[in-house]
Amino acid sequence: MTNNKKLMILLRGIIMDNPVLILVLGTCPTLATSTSVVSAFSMGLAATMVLICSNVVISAMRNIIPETVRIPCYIVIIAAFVTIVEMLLEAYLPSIYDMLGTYLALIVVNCIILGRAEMFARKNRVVDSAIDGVGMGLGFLFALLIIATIREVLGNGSFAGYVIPFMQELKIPVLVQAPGGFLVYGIVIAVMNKLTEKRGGVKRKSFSCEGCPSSRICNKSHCGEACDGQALENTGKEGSENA
Amino acid sequence: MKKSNLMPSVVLGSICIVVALLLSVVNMITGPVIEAARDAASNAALLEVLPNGKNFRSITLTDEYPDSVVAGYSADGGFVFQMSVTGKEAGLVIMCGIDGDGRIVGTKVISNKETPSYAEKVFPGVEGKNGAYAGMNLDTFAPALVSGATLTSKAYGEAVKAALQSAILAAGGSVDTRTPEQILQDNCNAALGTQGRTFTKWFAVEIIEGVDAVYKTAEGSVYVIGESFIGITAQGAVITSDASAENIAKATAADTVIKSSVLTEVTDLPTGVSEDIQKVFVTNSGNYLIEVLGKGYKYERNVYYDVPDDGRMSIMVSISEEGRIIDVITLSHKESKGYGDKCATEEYYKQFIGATDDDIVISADRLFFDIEDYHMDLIDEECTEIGALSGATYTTVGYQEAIKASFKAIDLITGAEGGND
Repeated sequence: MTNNKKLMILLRGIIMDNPVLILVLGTCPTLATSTSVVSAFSMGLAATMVLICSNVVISAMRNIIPETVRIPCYIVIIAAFVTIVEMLLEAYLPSIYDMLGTYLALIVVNCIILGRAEMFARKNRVVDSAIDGVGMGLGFLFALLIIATIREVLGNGSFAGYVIPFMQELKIPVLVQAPGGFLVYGIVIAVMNKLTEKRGGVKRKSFSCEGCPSSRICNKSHCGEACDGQALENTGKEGSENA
Repeated sequence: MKKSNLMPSVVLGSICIVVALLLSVVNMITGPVIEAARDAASNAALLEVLPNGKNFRSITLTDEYPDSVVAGYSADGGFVFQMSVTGKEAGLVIMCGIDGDGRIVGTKVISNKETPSYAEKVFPGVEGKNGAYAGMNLDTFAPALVSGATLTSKAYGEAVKAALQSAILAAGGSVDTRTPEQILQDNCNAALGTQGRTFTKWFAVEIIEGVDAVYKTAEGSVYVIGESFIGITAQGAVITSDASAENIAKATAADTVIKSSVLTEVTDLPTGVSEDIQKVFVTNSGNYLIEVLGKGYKYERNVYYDVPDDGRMSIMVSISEEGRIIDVITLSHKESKGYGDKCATEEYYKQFIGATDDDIVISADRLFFDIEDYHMDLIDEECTEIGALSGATYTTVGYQEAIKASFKAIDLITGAEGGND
């Protein structure tokens, strides 16, 4: 695997396959923690740490974990790292721990982490899985920061807790509430789609057919056009690149 | 086959064991740090209400402590207690620091679910070392009630009083932590020589001279004259021996009057008696007992929103042959908490005792407005009519009208023309 291809793995996670803006994964923590830049940054870092560690371990154990119990094994491994991160934050960064609250434990069920374990880590080497974890984690972090910046500056008139004086009279409070979160999220996705238009149109979710419960009976009409051949093509590409 | 079936379980089990070991190692490292941080956070809250406190130690709370006290700490310099009380809503948690002399140093709300507007009225004035309760001890304690936020401020005061009582207990003293109702029940049981009986206040339909209140249970009655509780059994035996002869005589006379009182229902009510009059009884001494419905806030609201639930207050009033109110009680109501629900308190009933029909003035009539035009608080502290409840216009008017209807019913029954309109 050349350095260019490693770089591609990294950049795909950050831009082309951004988990939040392109793959639309991890929506719950995105909306919940993007009300402020500080909490978004904290969540992004915590999720990135878990993602890197779980990808490395799962990749290292990919030849040991049987197919029939792979999902429970992945969950146990991911939960272990989330618990470790929780304990470390509670011990050494209690303010961050309090800020993230219940969403810290919910990293266990973050689609990004289990999705990358299923789609990449279990089929690739440890180093590549680690790079993928870094890329996806950074992509998650950057997306959170973009959305959080918009919501906090326009919605609360502050940035990272620092009040912006001239924004106090211009702020739109609904942006820091749930409806505003969805609105900003949708607009950012739309902008991202526009920016990536020249790179081959709207990027659809690249599901792995192997992870799809309908894979055995699928005649490609179940998931519609989004699934038509593309997922199978992606699976084939990944397999050949990482052999 | 068996080997392939076992392998997944073995792998999964092994992963779980390794994970458990790893987590226990991390817990060993971070556990003490987390514990120390939690203690520091807890101490920070304690120091806020007792700044000079050192070496906080948890107190074991026994049954003597007031029920509202959920945690207690002793320190070099005083005590800190945490109470959970119910204001407008449950879950009002207050921490209170008390110095070694039993005086309040500071109070703080830890958590609450009170309506923000009530919290804003109450908390700033009572919290902290400069709050309304600072410097008070149990002898000088007086609740800092806030008009318009009575429930919240009253609950805050109860919490502070519980803290003061707890400080005395923690210092080795004794204090009566019973509620006034518990004290009353205990005194009645002691007077009648019973245990665990529940006494209910007798609704007076006869005028009893020299007796402040009568409480009844199946075994007999207890007559309260000043500080004395005199018990008389259902058979007429006087149980209490430590009361004065004069008071015993008064109690015995009252007991005779009560036992000889017979109620007869007046079934044929004359035309003109309000439909709100439910039942009318007359005693053998010529007094009347009337059950009447009052229209109140809930009724008016249900009419406005076309809700079938009646919502009226159910009131019982006894009126003497001479036309004076002997007793009043609200049997049931659905009035607003903190406003109209005061119509079911002893304090409210007392103002009616001895009043005549002329004494009862409908507050709305005095203010010369049509109540239909007003839906907000019109009755305020300046309204001094009997039965006026500040902030509860509909309840006030409904109650007054019900009492007036009772007087009119008696006039019609006895044949007096015109009433007092």
